[in-house]
Amino acid sequence: MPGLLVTDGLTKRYGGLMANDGVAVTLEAGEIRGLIGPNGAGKTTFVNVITGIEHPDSGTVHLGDVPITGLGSHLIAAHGLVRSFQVARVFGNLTVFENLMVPYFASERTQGTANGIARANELLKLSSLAPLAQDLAKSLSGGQRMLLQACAGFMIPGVRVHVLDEPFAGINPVVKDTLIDLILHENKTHGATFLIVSHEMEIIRRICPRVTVMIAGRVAAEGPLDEIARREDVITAYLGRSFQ
Amino acid sequence: MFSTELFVQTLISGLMIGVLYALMALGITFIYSIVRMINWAMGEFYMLGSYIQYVAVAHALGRDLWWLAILIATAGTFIIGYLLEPILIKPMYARGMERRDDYATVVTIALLLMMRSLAVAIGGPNQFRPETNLPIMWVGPLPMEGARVIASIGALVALALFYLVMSRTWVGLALRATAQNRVAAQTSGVDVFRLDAMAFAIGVALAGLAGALLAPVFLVYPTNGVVTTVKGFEIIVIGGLGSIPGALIGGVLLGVVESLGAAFISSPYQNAYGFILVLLVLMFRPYGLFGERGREA
Repeated sequence: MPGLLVTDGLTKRYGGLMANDGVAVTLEAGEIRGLIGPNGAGKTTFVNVITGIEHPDSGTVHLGDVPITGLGSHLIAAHGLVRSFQVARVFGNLTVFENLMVPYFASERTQGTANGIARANELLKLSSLAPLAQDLAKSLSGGQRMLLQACAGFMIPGVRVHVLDEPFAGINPVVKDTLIDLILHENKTHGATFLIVSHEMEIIRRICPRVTVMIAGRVAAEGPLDEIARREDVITAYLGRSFQ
Repeated sequence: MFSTELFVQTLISGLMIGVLYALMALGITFIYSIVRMINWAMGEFYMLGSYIQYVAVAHALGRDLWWLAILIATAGTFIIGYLLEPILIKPMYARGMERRDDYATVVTIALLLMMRSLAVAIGGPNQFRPETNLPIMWVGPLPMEGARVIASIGALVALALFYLVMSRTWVGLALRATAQNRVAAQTSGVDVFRLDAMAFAIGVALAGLAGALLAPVFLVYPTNGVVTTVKGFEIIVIGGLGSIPGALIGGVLLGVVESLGAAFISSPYQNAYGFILVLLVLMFRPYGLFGERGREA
């Protein structure tokens, strides 16, 4: 298996700062991978670069056999890689239901309006947003917006990889559990692959068999969380040297 | 002297010109809301619409087919807008472009000058008047030029059509989404650059339609778009930039205020009443009647 999402030597500089320095990550199809690291380690830069928000200075990104390096984000979404944002970007003046239909209709793989509506209703039920379907999205709470944003990603037909940037940050525990169930459901029933950036170690431990640790723009470690949490360089990066 | 009859008549004529102002303002605000730029050449697309309408009537279709000429003029400005946008406006979003507003301003003002000069070069500085077969029509108690009545009806039909496209079609849904959050739309897979071209074309086609509709009333000459453009921008200030209801209500409001002012205060100052309205709005609601205080970049 060559991997579904493969980056190689991905480098992004901001002036003199190496935000990403030769990042090589391989995600297998159907995997739920955690991406952790201290603040400023380059996680969000990595996400921005692979999803076309920013352009790498060098290195490549492949989705399956398709090179997607440096493509516009709508093209990357069309190839099957979508992301969520740390601060949920929903369309506030559209209804919750319409928010789900935008990505569905934008896709070239749209399979008829009826299928889209059925899928939207399924996701609304799973995310327990169904009672709010006709409300404007700006009336949702932060956590509900996060759920809506995730569901919008699931609406795009043929998406294989979902990149979630801090999906659990600052949302209440009930919504957190709903979101986790939703992720596991999409993974099980549709074989969706996830890359989840998060600081919530408990959740990462629960749902991610493998995690990638980034420190100072590089991949520092990779493996099951409990294993790498014992590594000295990882502990140092998180807690500082004086703890040892 | 105040008379109810005069008041009603003035109100009607104000409403009738107001919907045409609204058409112009809608074009400006719609392009702004999607492409995030002010198209300073709006009046020149109005002018283009009026020239196409005139040429079609005078040299091809004849006076009985004025309605077909209006459709051709609208379609023509739409197509020209759709073809121009990727060449002139899209580079605004090129990588590393700073000061997009400045770029768009310079490019559209250049376009404005070029289109005006072309009109002078081709048609000369003359005024043309496309003929119509429309008789005088009675609007309630008011006898009016047929072309003027048709212009208002045409504008209303266009506004209704615009509303239907925006609320009932998936292109409309994508346009509304893009207007609210361009980056989120793009990451949802929406091809925002195609929508830019579409929005620019729809916006200038609204101006072209206004030009074609009003050609028999306000005539056809190289700078005939100036007045309506100024009105369009007045309305944007009144209604709030980027607000579609603001454009519609602001347009009608401006038309009514101008007509009432002209009828009951003093007619030479007709254009001043609109500016007084603008000043009042700026004093009490600087972001416009329907504008938002701030918006996400």
